[in-house]
Amino acid sequence: MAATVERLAEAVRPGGDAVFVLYGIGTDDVFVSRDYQERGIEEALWEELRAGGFDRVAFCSARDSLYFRDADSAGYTNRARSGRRHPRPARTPDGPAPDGPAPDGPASDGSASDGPASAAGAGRAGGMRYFSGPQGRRMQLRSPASVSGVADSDGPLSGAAADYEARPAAAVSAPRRRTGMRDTFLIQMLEHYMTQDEVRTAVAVVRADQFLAHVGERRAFSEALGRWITGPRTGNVCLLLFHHRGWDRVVEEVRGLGGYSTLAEFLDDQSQRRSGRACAQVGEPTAAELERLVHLVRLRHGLCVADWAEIPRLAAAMAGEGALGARRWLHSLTGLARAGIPLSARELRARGELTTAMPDGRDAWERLDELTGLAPVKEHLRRLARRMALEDARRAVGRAGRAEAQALHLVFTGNPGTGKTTVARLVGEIYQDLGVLRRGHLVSAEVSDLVAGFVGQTAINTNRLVDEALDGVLFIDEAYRLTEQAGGFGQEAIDALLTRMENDRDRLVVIVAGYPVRMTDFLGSNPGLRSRFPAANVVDFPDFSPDELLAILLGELTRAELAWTPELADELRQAVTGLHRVRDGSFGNARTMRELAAELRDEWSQRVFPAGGVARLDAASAETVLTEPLRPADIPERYRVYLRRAVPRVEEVLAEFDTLVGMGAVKDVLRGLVARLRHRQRLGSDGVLAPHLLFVGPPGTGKTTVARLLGRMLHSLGLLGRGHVVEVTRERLVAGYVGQTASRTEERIQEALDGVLFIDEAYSLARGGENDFGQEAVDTLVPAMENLRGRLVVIAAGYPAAMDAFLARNEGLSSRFTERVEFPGYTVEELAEILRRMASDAGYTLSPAAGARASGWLRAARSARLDDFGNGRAVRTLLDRMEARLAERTLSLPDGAGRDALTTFLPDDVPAGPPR
Amino acid sequence: MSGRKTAFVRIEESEWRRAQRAAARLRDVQSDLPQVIEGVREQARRDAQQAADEIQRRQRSAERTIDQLSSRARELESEVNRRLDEQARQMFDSLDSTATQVRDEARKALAERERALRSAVAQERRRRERDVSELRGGLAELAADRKRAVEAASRWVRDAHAVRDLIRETLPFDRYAPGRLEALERDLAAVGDVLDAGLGEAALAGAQRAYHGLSDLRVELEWADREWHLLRAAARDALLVVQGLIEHNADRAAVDADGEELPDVPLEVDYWSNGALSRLRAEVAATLGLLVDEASPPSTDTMRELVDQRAPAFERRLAEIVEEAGLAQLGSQLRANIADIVVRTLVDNGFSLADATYGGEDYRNAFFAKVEHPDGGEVVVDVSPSTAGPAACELKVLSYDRDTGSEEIREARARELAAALREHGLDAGVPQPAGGEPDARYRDIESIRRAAPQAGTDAPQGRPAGAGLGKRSG
Repeated sequence: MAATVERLAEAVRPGGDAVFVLYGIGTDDVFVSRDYQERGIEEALWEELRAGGFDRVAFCSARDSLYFRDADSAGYTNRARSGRRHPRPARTPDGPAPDGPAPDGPASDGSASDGPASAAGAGRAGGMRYFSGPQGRRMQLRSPASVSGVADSDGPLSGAAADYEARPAAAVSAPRRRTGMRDTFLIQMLEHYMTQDEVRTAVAVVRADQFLAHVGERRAFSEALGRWITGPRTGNVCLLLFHHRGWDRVVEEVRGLGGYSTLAEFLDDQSQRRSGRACAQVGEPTAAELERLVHLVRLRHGLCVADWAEIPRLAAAMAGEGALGARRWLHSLTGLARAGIPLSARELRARGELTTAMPDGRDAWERLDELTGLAPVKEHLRRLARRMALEDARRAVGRAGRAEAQALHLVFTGNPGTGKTTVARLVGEIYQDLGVLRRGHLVSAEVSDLVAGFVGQTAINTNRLVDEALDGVLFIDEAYRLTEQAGGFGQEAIDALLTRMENDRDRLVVIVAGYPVRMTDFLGSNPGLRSRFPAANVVDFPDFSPDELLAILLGELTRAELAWTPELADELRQAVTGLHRVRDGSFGNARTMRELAAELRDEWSQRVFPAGGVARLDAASAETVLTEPLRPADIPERYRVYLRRAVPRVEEVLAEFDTLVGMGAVKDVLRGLVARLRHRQRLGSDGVLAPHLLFVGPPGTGKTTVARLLGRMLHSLGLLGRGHVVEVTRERLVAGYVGQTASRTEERIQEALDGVLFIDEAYSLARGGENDFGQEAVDTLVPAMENLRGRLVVIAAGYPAAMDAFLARNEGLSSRFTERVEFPGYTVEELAEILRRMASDAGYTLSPAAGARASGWLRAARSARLDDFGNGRAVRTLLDRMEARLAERTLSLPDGAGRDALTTFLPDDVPAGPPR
Repeated sequence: MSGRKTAFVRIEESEWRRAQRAAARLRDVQSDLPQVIEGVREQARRDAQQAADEIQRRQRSAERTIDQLSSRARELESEVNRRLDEQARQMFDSLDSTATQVRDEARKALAERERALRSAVAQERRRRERDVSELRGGLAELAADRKRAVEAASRWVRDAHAVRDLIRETLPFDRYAPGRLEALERDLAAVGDVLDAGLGEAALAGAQRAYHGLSDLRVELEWADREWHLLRAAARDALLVVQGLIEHNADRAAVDADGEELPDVPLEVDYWSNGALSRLRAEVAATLGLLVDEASPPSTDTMRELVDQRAPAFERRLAEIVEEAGLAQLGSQLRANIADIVVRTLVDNGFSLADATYGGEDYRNAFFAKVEHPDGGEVVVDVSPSTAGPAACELKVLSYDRDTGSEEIREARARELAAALREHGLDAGVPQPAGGEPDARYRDIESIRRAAPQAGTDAPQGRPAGAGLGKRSG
């Protein structure tokens, strides 16, 4: 079994290029290979390269120059030409010299021929000698370098080869065979390695940024790199290791160094390539590697494991932490072992080393199924998985054909809180199960994480996030906001994202999410986006149904280990149903349920805490307090509006209208509403939604008054949260400039939320014709009437004829008004009655004769001005004038005159005829 | 494949001084002197005995001659002879003992003996002056009696002839006092003429003068001969000691760069001195031959110069030869060491050692090593002994690059190699790129193994040999 490790095996796949760049956290990490051994990057890389058919693996770094990890590689370098003769000893008059100048490898100073006196020589220069002179291998030159002992610490190369023979070539921590080569010679040697074709060679430049910065002959090295990059292929490869996490940082670093123009261009080119890129990221350890790491620490350092069955899940959770190398885990687990603390998720979490939720042992499908609701999502993912599994099988038997691989990127549309992030996380795991992604972790980002305020930074931010997400899922919430960014920065992010989605298509899955309508716009804004996110991959997350919401809410309470009474559950159902009924586009779904759970808990805390104190609870009182379940009383006030209440009897509801004259039609509508409400409650189904209404009738027929009453009544029926009335006319909705009208209208809508928006003379919105801004108000109003059903009641009022004409031109608008209430002009008798009530309210009485005369006046007035007869307002006018005449008439009476004389209208007080 | 030669090196001065200081330790060639002298002692004793025997023989001849002399002269000469005997005993006793002394003491003893000899000569002369003047006192009486005067003169003439015959027969008068004897003989003949004429008084004066002249000459010759023997013995000793030292120093133990002896490493002095030791040995032998050449014995002065000047000079030369041999060996070792460092540096930088040898497989020659780069490039390292000194050397690094990279990178490589060598204490200076192609022959280590290349043949075309090839230091 090759002692390789997944994340390295995946990254180190040099293709056709002589230069290959590795970057990322893994280039500076330790690895736990499949043989359960801990290896540094160099050793792991060595294994990988040797397994990959490289016979010689050389390393170089700024500090250690050229060095090797195995005897073979060092041997290839130092191998003498075969058949070289060994020199004979030099001639001396008395026969052979004490030791011939045989360069058959250096000998240490204490060679056999040396007597005790040689100790002085050995001490002087140390190290080996190649040659023997008349005095043997003694060194008679003082050597400053050998005194400092830098070069000699490891001994000579070929001497080292012998050391290797004694141990297996794949020793896990083979020592470095440093050559101490000077830079120009190093470059000469690298040039040789890269251009020869006898021994397939890999040269790994570790900490390449430092090497490139500090190599003595930068120009020469740059030229050499250029030759390798552009020259003929030899099968040799130079691996440059950068510790930078992101590719952009690597490119930036190399550009910043200056002098490496060919390399910089080569790196730039990688970003453009569709395939065969000569670069790869070495990322964080996989769960499998971390599992081995746990066992490694267990075996080597005696780490105790609290629950063996937990290990795979724990490793998965550790892998999910992201941005943490194996070294960090090795360190913390070794720390646990030393302290004798058993390993468990709880322990790691307590230490702050595990922050993500740990999978509970069920596979991603199981957990997906356990999610409340989301039936269409589940089905969609299952279809996707089935397709992928089948494709996989086809590929396995070589029948994949040339069809484009299936796109894996997804679009999640839906309102907030519909479980998009949760599902995205599971998609990562499912993709990992399917073998599509190696890690399957989730990197969740918002638009503000991608977009920066100045040129160039956005691409960097985006690439950084992509780098983090490689081998996993990048989830971008409210992605549509990218197209709404000023300054083109959003576009920059989209471009960067599209490039990476192409370049890293085997390692990156992107899920974009947002409101359905806006996501459609978002995808439509860019053909590149549309092609990456095919329509088939758009998954719609419907709002949760009231039942689902209730299940989520109760699930939250269960997780919080709170108990509740059946009554509370019942009332919560009502509240949730109400919330669902009146939900709009901003409805938080599951998030709202979590908020409600938190508020319930808070209310409960306040209720059960012993009155008048904030002190700590003693054990006994804690016992009583903590066993107290949640009760209906704990439902926060703002949710109570949704609670079912006894539907008032129609008579009670309509009692208020009794004070009004006429109103037969209005009362009928209300009566119908109450009846339906009661009916629904009796069926146990959802409540009804308050309808939008048209109040059609001439002015002064009580429309405004009725609207106010209606608001109050709808509130008391639980159909509106507040029931207030916002009265508007064209002037408060329509502005003078393009674009302002919508926002002005929007403001009014928000003002009227949970109440009534009363638009008087609504037909005037169409006053200016086609190009009028009034149309903009209508266009804003229509969707709001739809989306805010249950939270907003719009009442449009106006003259019957004008309203009819207006509605005819705005079909969308007219269809939203489900109730039409006619306000017919009052009869003369009704008008007279109104006059009587108004006068009475003001403390006056009408003599019968005055009443008759007034009726005559009103009849004359109405017949004179049928269209714009003010009705109630005309009565008010008449009363005012009558009061004026009465005042004039009684001015001459003495102060002592009876009150009756001052408050009783006489026929004379009624004017002769209606005003012109 | 283009070639390019970078040639440079400078071994740090201090390194060389250190090596030289180390080799200077070898100058002490007398470490085995007592042993050498022990070997010389027997010969010295034989020499002394030979000289003593000869003097004894001569003493006996003199005694016989003295017996024939007139009573007055006999008395006189006997006394002289007794003192000469005594002196001879003392002298040869001490001569024997000098052979066991070490050199400086021996030389001191010799000087002491010479001084003693001279003072003895002076003393003797003064004594004879006194004796003669006493004789002169009686002469006045004799002169008054003419007949007695003739008789007396005839006795002195006879005695004079006897002494003259003794001299002629036993003493090397020509060597020490050329012409003196002949002059005295002429005086003696003239006295005979005067005597024949019956001029007794004049003949007596002349005869006495002739006798005393001859008697003086005998004593002088006797002393001079003794001094010659003394010096010849000393000179022989000195040369024998030198000879002994030469043999004792022919195989020394090598020293390392710190001057520490390396007992396991032989230093074959004649080999490392390129035969200088053999030449010295021959010269000393020839000088010794001169000493015993009876046909033309060397003069006293020659021998004194030999003892005082030449023998010490021989020793100094011996010391120099040994030192230079040691330095040459150290130099050879350093060449291998330098090549080692360069090759190690190159191996550290990706080359591998291909072959290496001393030129002609002779340690005294340049050291050559060739390394190869896997890309096919080669570098030959040539460490040659420098003309600047026996232990100085010159490093050349000859690159035979493959055609990769620019000229700049190759120069940068040369600079880095130089820097690496500096780290090892080799001041390689700034690499000097030399124009032209390096001699391809240097790549063939096998042929270098068979025969060392001649120096300077790799000089680039159009440039004087050796110019710009490197820096030397010794």
